Amino acid sequence: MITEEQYESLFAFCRKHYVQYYDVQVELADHLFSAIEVCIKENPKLSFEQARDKIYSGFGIKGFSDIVASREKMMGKKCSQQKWKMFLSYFTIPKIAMTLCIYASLLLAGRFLKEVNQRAILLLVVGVGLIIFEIIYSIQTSKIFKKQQKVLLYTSGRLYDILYSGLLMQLLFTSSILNKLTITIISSLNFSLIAFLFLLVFISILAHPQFTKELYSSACKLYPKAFAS
Amino acid sequence: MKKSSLYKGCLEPIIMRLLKDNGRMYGYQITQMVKELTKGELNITEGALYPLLHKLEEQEIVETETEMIGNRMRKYYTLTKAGKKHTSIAIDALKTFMQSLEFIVNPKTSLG
Repeated sequence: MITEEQYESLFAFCRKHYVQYYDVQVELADHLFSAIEVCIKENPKLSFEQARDKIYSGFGIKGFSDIVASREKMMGKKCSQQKWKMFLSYFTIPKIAMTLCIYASLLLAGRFLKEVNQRAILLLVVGVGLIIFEIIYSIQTSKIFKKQQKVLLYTSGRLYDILYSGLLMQLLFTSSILNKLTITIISSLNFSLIAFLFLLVFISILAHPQFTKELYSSACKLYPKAFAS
Repeated sequence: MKKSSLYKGCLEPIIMRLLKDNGRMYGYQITQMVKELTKGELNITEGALYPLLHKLEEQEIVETETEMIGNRMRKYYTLTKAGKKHTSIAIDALKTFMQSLEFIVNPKTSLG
């Protein structure tokens, strides 16, 4: 009979073998538990540790690493799919109208800014403003995760957006479109394209809370022990 | 030749079939049932099973739920609606493959 302490020790065993995510540990600990139980039943002379190591050797030379990698890959894709769904669900008629208004205002501003650097400065201000907005907004929406006490791969996707937006801005401001901003005026076409890109980032930020809320409620349902009651 | 490399490509329909027949299953249960049904001939390793289950989850063929078994948390896999349809297709493909193999392994008997 495996004791409660021995079962809990399987989580430490997973951590020792580089499985940091609680949701992955849960599955592996349960697998090890069931396998160890059968192993000891078949060979009562084996200690818990001996049986555990015997089962672990069955995972192959890479141990748990392939399992963690495949789970990371799967969660990454699922997260993107979910965000994409949320992004598309954002487009209701009032929000489409608001989006078009924002875009029109940006384009209009661009029309009046014809001096050297003016358009680039506007884009820079909007871009930096967007990142700041995203950081503040994400911190606010992530507050619901305060109760989460364990690291879950399942909920880790909520933090990627800031990184992506930051990277996008970085790319934009170092790309060939803007690296001449000190000497040239940004063409209307480039300006409208970049403004459109910013708009997409803005919409994805607005759609983010819904994604976060759904992620939180399904994580609570799937892994209640990872959250403080 | 290693036995596992022979059935590597067949694991997906096997797992899907088991899930179709048994409703929901957890990882260890799948490995044991395969062993039992094949009288120990087929042994799915954990290193092959879980990445495959994750792939099926990514493709929305299976979905997961957790349940507390005493103080332990267990994760179950179930076929989705799309997964059930996909299972029949995968099993048919496996049968065709087995038939084709028969043509090669036993050319005389398979030609009648």
